Amino acid sequence: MSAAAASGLSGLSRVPGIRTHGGAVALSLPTVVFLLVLFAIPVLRLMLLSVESGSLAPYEKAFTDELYLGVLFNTFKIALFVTAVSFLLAYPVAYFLTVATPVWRMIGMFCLLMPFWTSILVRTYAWMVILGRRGIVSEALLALGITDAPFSMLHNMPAVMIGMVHVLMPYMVFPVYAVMQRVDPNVMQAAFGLGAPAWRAFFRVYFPLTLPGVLSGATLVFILSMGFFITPALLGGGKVMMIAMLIETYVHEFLDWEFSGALSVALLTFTLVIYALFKRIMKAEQNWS
Amino acid sequence: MTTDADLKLEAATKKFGEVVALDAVYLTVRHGELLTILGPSGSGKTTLLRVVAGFEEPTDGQVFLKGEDITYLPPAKRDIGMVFQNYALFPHMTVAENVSFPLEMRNTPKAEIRKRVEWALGIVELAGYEKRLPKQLSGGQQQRVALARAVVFDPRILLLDEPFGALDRKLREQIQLEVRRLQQKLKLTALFVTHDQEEALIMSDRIAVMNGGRIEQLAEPSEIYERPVNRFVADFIGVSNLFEGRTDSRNGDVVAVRTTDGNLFKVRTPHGVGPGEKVVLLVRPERLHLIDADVPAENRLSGSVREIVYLGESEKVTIGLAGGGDVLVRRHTEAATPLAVGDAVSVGWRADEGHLILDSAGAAA
Repeated sequence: MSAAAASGLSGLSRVPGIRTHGGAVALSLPTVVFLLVLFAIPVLRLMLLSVESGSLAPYEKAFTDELYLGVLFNTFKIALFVTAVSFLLAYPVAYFLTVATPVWRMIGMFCLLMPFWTSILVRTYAWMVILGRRGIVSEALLALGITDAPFSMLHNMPAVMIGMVHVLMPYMVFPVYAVMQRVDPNVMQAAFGLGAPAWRAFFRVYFPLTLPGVLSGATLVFILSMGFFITPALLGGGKVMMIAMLIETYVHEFLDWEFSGALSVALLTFTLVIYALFKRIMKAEQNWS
Repeated sequence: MTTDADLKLEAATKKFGEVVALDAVYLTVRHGELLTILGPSGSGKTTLLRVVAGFEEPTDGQVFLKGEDITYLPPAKRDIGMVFQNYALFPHMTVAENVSFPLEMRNTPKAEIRKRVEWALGIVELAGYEKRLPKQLSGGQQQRVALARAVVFDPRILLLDEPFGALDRKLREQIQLEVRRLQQKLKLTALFVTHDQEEALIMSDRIAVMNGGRIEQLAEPSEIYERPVNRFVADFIGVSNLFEGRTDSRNGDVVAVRTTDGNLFKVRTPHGVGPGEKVVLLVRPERLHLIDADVPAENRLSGSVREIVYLGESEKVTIGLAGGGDVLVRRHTEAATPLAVGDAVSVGWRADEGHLILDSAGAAA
């Protein structure tokens, strides 16, 4: 490593193209080693567990049993919904940040970043406080006389989605905001000046120009949703099953490492396929930038 | 050229807080003419253009387009073609889509759109580039797409906002002439904004020189150059030799001016100025001639050559005057007697080669 660093540095004074390359390799080495040892190897190990017995039975079970396919489909559905809702909520927020005065932008940024200083667990429990039988929503409606009995809004699909959107929305806001900032205001004025009413200028010019940000935000939110665990586990109360919860159950309760491995591989494959798909759309979409 | 007013500004005023960007401007742009708004940055020229385009609402006053009051009309309803400083092409659309855009927004039938786009790309000589994206074009080509997009829908007026700034010099000169030819061919009424005085002289039917939110002078290019009404215009357009002084005796339309450093110069002027008035005498560098010491001249100065700048077909000679200060002479290089720094020389000019500016007119500048 020191040799690589030395050659990288000696190149610094001479060849501009080479110096960044050699230097970058040397500088990224610690991270590469870290990820290899603590991430890639364990994942590989888990994947190998699923075929160690010498049969593909766990995969057969994972991909044919309706129960597991159902969970996979459910996971996909939740991820899709969460992504869509996050987009609908995040797009106006990103636009607000783009056009706001510096003070408002700072306030907005603060509000978006604040949740990151709190653990997901705490935030999820907060939702339980809000949505539960003795929660704020129920008590408030009771006090207003809108309902006459306390009720729980927990342990169902909407609760899971609310919690997930809350956690994941910032991942949509930031990429969209980054792209919106780069949209030339003159281009929008050109659209208006050339006869476009506001809504047509938006759909024909502004939205297509911000689509790359939406797509990268969607990729992030979707992939993170696919592997979500704590929020659906707590807010779903076992009634909403996602694949990460299934894997956890098989590791913890059935100690079935082979099947967990197979499910993990299924999740990983599915996620990679989705990622490749997004990547493809993005490439086609971004050929103009 | 007819004299119908295509665009009319009446007392157009724009204030940003305490700052007056546009100070009760009256302006008439005639049908088929290219009128240039020329001024330094902060003179209000861009604000004027934005008020006409509808991107800025005037604080006071009115804007008329072909007789219609458009002061509060949104930009989309003004039928104005605009070419922006950085072209502002839609980066995600092809050349053809960019040029179709204004027609699409007017719900023009598809077949008609195809015909118009073909015509517009033809006149800017970009036929065959329909499927390209803006990023695949050179700066000059992008410029022409922007122009095609601005004229394709037969706009009521064409606005050009410093559209040549990003082009290199040679290309800029070529495109300036192209735009001018196109504007004349299509008989488009055009309002053109620039800070480049040379560009303004090349392209315009008339020039409005702006400063501090006001129009200082509105006239044809030659009038602006030869007979600026005040010191600001004289300074801003071209290079000037300016002599401050007071009027002295008068003989017909020739007035003698006593400069502050004691010289007496004669200048022919239509102004009916009395004696003792504060004036500025303007003599353009190409109106000064190097003369032999024994040749009589109406006006004469002597000094020594301080600097020579060679410009190819001409050269600029700075002459340090015996009485202090210096003057600039521009002369053709062919058949000129060679000069060297330090040579003692005399310069002379006729009374009708100078131009008299009443200093009160330039007081605001």
